[in-house]
Amino acid sequence: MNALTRRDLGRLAALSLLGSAGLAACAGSRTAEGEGDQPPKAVDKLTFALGAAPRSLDPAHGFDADSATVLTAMYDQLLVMSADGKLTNHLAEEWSQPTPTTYVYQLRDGVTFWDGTKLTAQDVVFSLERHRDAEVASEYSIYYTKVKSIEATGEREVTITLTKPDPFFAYVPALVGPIVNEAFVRKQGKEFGTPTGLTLGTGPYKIVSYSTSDGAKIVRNDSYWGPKPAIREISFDVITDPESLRLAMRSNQVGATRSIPLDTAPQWDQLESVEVTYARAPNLVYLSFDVLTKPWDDVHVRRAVSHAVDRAGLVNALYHGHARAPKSPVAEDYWNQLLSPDEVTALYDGLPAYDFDLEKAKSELAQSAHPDGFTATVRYTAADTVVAKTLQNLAENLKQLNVTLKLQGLGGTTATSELYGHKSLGLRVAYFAPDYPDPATFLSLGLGKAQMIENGWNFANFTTPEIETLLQTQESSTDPEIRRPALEQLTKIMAEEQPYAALFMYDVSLALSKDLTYDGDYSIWSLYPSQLVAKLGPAKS
Amino acid sequence: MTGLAKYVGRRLVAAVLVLLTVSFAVFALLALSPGSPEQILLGDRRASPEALAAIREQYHLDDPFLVQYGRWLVDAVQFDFGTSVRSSVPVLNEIGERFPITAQLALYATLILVVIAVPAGMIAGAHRNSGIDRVVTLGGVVGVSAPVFVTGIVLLYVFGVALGWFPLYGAGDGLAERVSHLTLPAVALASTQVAFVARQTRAAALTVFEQDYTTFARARGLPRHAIWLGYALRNSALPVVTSVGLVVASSLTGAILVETTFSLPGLGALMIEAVNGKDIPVVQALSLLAAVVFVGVNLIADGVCLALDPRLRRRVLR
Repeated sequence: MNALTRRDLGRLAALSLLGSAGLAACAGSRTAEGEGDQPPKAVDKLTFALGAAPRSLDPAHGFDADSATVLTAMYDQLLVMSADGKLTNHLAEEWSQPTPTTYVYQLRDGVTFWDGTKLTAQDVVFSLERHRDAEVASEYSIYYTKVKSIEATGEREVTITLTKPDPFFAYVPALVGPIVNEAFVRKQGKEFGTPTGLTLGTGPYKIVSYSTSDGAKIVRNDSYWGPKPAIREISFDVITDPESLRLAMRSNQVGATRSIPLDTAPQWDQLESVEVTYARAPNLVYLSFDVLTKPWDDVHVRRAVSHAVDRAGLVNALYHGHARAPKSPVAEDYWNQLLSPDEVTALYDGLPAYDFDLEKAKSELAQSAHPDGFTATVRYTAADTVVAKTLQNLAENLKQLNVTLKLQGLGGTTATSELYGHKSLGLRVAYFAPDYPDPATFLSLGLGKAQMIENGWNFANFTTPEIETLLQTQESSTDPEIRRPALEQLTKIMAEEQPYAALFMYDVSLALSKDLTYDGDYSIWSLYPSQLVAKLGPAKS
Repeated sequence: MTGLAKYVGRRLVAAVLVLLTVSFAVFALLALSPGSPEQILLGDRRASPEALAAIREQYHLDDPFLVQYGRWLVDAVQFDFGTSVRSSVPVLNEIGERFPITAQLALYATLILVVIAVPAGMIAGAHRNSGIDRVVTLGGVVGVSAPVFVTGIVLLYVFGVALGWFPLYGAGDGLAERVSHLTLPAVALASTQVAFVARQTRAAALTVFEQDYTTFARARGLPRHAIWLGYALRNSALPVVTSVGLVVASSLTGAILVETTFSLPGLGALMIEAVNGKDIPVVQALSLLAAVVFVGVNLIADGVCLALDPRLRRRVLR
């Protein structure tokens, strides 16, 4: 479980889904006690299982999936995101972008915190400014690096000014902008967000109790301005072992959980009282080749390795079909606000395919500087059994090319630390989930000089003058007409040159007891930029 | 009495040295291990250099190693173990919340252990190579060989799901709930330890039952309970007390697998989270606590041995 949860940790991802597995589909089947045509039973209490307790109730310090599951129920944001990655007004009743560097938000009237105090524009300014305050050391600070100022420009108006145009800033208030109460935060000081200090928000649920070891309990905010959640009380319990979790769901001690380990999906699907929804998501697992080291500096070697990965076979064997074999690390899903579906298909059809074909792999290797094969090492996190099996399979295939791939499984977080530290990069396994629904979410990180540093994401150290120019172009404008050609070209270069070989994109999951339903489409954007648990309710018969 | 004071004094000085060594070694190992806390804290999320620098600053990670250790030591002797990097809660609060669960689990498991392992070992020792001896040995081997996450799941399935007698996860609130939540974990934990203590008891009992004084006692026609309690149990007590002490210490410092399998928020579970997150203040405090527990339990076990064995008392307290 650890491997999957870790990968899943913190990551937003994919619009996708689009109707694929709407939870409504499960509404027909009921648990034994709910048999027949009775009206849906109101669900008064729900136990939601988490892998770990929230780290903090302070939104600046709870940037991981388990914390977010709880936190998003208690806070509102200016904007939220729909399942397909479109921005929706929330605390802001409207917003505009009068200049490329200015964003203006009009606040909804009549919003109050749980204690009855009125939400002010100053609370919003304070909440967002915290992420820019070094004293706070916010885990979200990267999203606010281009911000010049955040100001209350009216009684119910907030204006954010950037230092330069940023095509992604529009998403920030939806992704990372929970609104807290200024007076409360100042009064609590260091205690804010801890089990003793708790928190004060405007969201659909209020905090009842919280422990860093045990989880948290929340109760419905009956004076909430928006749609009232159906479930009155939710208890977030910590279950650390995936097998115990399955037993707990099976015996109805737990009603909901997210991110089940996909390698055990068939056992979950067999549970009679549980329905698991899998939503197509661009949670990416990929190989990165450091082009500054031999033999990975040779494009033919990289292509040969990419041809030697049996993606389709592994998707079935390791993910039981709850994943896909992507053509590019840049998911098709990212384009839906830049290209029409047909244009997306045309773009991806034009990319070179690295299907599993050892003959093609051999001919690529023959054109390389190492026609007689070579020996290389790959270092990875041993606990990730899916990756370990993938690499064993790849090493077996590569033997036929006279290539010896040595597997070095590392304990704990060593492999991750080395990767982020850009230490002895070579061939590596990396994980990625998107920050926002735009192709640049991967392209601007995986390519270019700016990310070829410690904690940067260009693990392949791959760049060319053309790439630098294209990255510059797409970053400097919010105009889709300017950005689109640059992003398309970068995607093509990435496919041709294979600095990265995409392995899998795996689904996000939500397991619910059959007397529950999730109102709406479920997708990778259903966690951070929306209020996941507030949308749970009794199944309709 | 001066002998006792000297003895205790010697042991205390040794204990302080052990604690200093352990704390320094753990600190050094953490510093040497790859990755930095702020990097791991932010995981696979994109981090700005400012965010990383701010976290480093908060936890003084840029100071030289010895300065960091010195700062920690000065705070630690005043019982200030800092705040957790992961949760920003004071380390003592984190440990204080979890210690009772681990301690109760250890106590419960030890109770089960002593009630089963000591009599089983004595009987096996008294009837060497008999059927009952083989059963005890076999049972012990099974208990110690079956991985606790498997025994744990089997117990959960049988007594939690199928029979529905016990809850499946968590520690529960209140005494009654706590006992019911800790029963399966305690059984799972004890099952791995029974073999160890039973073998020690058996070996000790074996020697005792072969001694002339036991034979003589039998020849004098002493009742069986007098032989068992007065001769066999007391004379085989030393190794048994020592081994039970070791087992208690290891349970107290966190039965990691048991706590994970049964989702108990104890010290073992905390240790896993802290090590994975390179949460230096928490790992450091937990290691120190482990050292204190081992030293303390050993001291107590030695004290019990002294009380039990006059020969030992004379030799040590001279």
